[in-house]
Amino acid sequence: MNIINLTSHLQRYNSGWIAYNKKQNKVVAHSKTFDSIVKKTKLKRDILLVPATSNYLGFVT
Amino acid sequence: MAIYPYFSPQQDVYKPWIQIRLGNPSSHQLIQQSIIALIDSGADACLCITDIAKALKIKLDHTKTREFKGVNNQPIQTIKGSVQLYVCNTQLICPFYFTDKLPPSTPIILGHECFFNRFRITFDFKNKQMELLDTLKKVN
Repeated sequence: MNIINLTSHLQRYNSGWIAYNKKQNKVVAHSKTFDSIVKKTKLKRDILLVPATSNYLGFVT
Repeated sequence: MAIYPYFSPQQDVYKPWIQIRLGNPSSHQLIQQSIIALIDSGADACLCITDIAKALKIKLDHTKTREFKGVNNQPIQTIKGSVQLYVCNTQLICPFYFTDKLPPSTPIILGHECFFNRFRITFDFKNKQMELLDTLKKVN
């Protein structure tokens, strides 16, 4: 099974949320807040909301 | 059993993320979009940023607080709320602990209480995939 590679889609964003269209394989919206990205993409289908940040490495629990 | 691929949000970074949907069990309001969540075997419970509770209009009972600690022993104050969780073709009502103290890369964490209680999870980092088995569903 192939990984889902969002690298190229996320590298332009340092914060907030992106709305990624899974079928079209592209970012269709970006917002600073969760509420805003939900409202912006309310009528769109096949959307995956992904947090945007400058660095995803270095997370421990 | 279902197999899910890892996500790569950054070059050479691979995450056991899964697509979930969230709802408010009281109002039955559902966020239409799928959302990324981290499957975290080191987390005792499911945690989530407060913004998502606000979007779902989940009433948070400020008398139901719980303190968690991260790896650096710093306290994380949370408020408990009830969430409808759709994951792996299963619908659950789970306690989530809401806080503003989660890292930006990880706004939703699926931990032991409720999630690992229910699913048997095998992380296969070598093949960048994970297997989830719903322990309450009968296998044909």
